[in-house]
Amino acid sequence: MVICSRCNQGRAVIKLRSKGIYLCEKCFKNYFMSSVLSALEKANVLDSLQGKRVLVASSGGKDSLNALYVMYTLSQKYDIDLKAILIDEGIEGYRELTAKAFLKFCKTFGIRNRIVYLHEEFGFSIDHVAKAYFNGLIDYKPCTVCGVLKRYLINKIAIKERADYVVTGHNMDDEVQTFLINIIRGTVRNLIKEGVLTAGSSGFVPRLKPLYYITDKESLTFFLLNGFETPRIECPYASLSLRYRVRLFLNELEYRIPGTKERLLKLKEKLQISLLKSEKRVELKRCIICGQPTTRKICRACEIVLKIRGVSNA
Amino acid sequence: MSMTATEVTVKLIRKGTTTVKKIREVNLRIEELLRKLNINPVSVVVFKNGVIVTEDDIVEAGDVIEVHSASPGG
Repeated sequence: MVICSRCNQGRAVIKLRSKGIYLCEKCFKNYFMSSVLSALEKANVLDSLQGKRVLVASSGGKDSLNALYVMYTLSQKYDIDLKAILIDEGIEGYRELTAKAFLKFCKTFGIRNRIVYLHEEFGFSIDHVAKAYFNGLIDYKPCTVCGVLKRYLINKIAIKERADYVVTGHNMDDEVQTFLINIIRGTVRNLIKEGVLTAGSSGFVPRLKPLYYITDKESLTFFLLNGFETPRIECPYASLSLRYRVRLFLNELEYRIPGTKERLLKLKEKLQISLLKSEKRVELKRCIICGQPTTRKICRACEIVLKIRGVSNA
Repeated sequence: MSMTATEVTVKLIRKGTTTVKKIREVNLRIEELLRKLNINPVSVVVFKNGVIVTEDDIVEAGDVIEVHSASPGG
């Protein structure tokens, strides 16, 4: 039996390889919550949560349910007006199962919630998009469409709900994967505003990531220790994405060289500071179709929707 | 008739399915067991006989090991 390095008493439930320590259930849960609080403090959000409207965007998976739990806990202390949404993008055999877990979780904690269906908003599902992609009718991978349209929809709902913050379950692994993907694609400028808090500009509700300093493994450990439940399933299209391969690569590096993810995250933050200094101010326009802010004439979401509808109607 | 357990039961829980394997090697660290199964300890949480353990815990004959993967998604 391995003993906790902090209290020297409890049976260890996790080894934090990058720090070379073991933690028991109690010390790990304290570590988890203090990592979340320090992320929110660093983003200067913690003290301003009092009375705020917070919309948690959940997928029904472990990370966003953990984020929902964290915000629920904080809502007790800070009198937060908390609501959760799940976007059902229409992936059969996957989303309806995590949606059930989401509803059960919300019921357990008495959290107001809503499920929004992608096909009701845009007239097609991600299964439909995937079919068109596999048939060579469109170039967009289902993951690209899913990511862009969900972000668009979440922001639209947050504006309608007059939310002060949108909370997501992105964790350290997600952030480091995104960093590497942007390096691979040569689009590091995309990272300028991504952090614990992505400040909202006109038409964008600020996005908050309380699990920013929590690894995937820590998130799963916290989820299981709390007895939370969600089906352990994977999106059927996940393996099509570059993220999938980057994730495997980073996990292998983390195993061989513990602390890799933390160091990459710190590097990203340093890079952001220097990129911000040289950033040219870009004037945002309004999309001529939907009116949402964009740097283009037609925003990326509308561009994708037009293309897919064009294929569907052909 | 009493039987002495000589193997470890490993349940792999990932992608919505549970695969059960019987492993004959015992008295090894969880990390070594995982690597033998081609699993990266960084991406899983392991239960030994119903409780979460670290990769440095020892697997003994008769143990039931559950390996939970952190599935990607969102």
